[in-house]
Amino acid sequence: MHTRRSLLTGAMATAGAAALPWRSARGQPAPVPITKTIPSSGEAVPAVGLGTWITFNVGTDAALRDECAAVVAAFFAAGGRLIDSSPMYGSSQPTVGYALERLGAPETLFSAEKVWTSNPRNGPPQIAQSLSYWGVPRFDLVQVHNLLSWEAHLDTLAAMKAAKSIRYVGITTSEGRRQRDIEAVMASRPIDFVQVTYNPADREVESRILPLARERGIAVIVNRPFREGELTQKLARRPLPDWAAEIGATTWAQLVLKFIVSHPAVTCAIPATTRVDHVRENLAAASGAMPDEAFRRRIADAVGRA
Amino acid sequence: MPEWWTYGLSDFLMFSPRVYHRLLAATNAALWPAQIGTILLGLAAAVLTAVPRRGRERVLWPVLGLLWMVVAWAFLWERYAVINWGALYAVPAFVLQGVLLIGAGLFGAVRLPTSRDRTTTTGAVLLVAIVLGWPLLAPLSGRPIETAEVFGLFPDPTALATIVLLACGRGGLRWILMIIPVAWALIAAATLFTLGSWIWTVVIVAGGAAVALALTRPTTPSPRRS
Repeated sequence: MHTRRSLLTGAMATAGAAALPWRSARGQPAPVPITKTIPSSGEAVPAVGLGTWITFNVGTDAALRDECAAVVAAFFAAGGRLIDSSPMYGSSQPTVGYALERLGAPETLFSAEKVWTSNPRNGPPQIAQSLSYWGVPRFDLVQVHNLLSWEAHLDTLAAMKAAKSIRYVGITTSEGRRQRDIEAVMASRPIDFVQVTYNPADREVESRILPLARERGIAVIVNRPFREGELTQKLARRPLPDWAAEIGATTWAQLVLKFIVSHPAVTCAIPATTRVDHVRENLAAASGAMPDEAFRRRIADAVGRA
Repeated sequence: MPEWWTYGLSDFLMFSPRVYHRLLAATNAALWPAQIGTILLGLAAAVLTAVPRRGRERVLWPVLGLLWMVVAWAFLWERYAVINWGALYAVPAFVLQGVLLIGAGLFGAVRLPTSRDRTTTTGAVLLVAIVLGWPLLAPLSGRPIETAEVFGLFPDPTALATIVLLACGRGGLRWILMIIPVAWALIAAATLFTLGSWIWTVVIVAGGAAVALALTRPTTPSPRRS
């Protein structure tokens, strides 16, 4: 039997989370999301970020760009910081730039970008183009997207980090692709971040990659927490278990996010959304009580049956 | 070395159905009333296919080629590529198809039969069905008519109508001219399937029917000469 006392409560919370909290309908300030530490620097970032795959690829549609800008505004107001995008994501980068410009370039932004080109010589100009789309002077983190031409790109990114034109270097994969290669890079190269897919239904990374990240002091960004919505749509057909209330989860999405960010190796999950209420719900999941190991197994069992 | 093998179909679907449908609506709004003109051109092509007239190929294929270039510019390059970088790779293919069709018309490389036969009659019916029926797929699938895809302005009905017209033609070159339209039809079906739209089955059925028409067309002239 789990009680609130058995749960990890504010242990991972720090005072470093971004401020500007929104207020709920009852006038209560939004809960402050817990932060997790980037091992290579000791810097703290909120445990829930914002992904932009599909959701921010809205082209030049003015109404949809404004919707995305509202999501970004709500994200920062709820204490979010890390926004992740990629040159592969169509018009997502200009949409992020549009939203940031409307907010007046928030100082709390933690920008996470990617380099995605098979020709290593195209890496630096691609990063420069991405900077132009975002409208920021430099990126905090640049990752090699899906390990495409990773050897040469990592050399480039290491040089950029040494020149202080970026702060962190990372690699990404998704949906369980090339896990052995990811492990090899983590074991052999001095990277700060690794980005992988992880949720209660996709747990392959628990066996090797997450332990290796802890061992090597590599921060972990989690993509596809809801399998692009497929997981939460499936779960929506079933009632939320009563025991979800023990950790303050009011939706399946919050239960899934609490499962992810409570893993000791995970630094930040990056759910993507086009809805302001969902971005607030996601950030709220990173606050309050967190599941302990036994409770996490309970969540995995419940979600695994979906 | 590019690791393209690590990507699946869904990895390249980088936009939502909502965004795509709003893009279709915005395109229609920007190009209105060109839709009326291209639909009339499509119907005229059906008439030219079914009613043999001397020298019709010199009009039919170049006009069709110009419409491929219109699609390449007005939809693929100007709009679709903004949300789907893959469309940039399709633009030169569409322009090439346009050039080839214009050349085929000017040099008489693909002739239509001098008499009406089963193939041209079936082809004309299929063409009318695509030109008039394709826009109706929008309301039939629960979308507003503003998101309708029209022959001559959007790639899917243009590619399918081209396969039908080429199926009615003669000469080995028509098979070469079918490569790009058939390839696009397959891409369109895959995209619609990934978007969760049942219209992918209509693309396959219409494209398959057109190719079957080409494969089964009579090799001897019909006795009913006009």
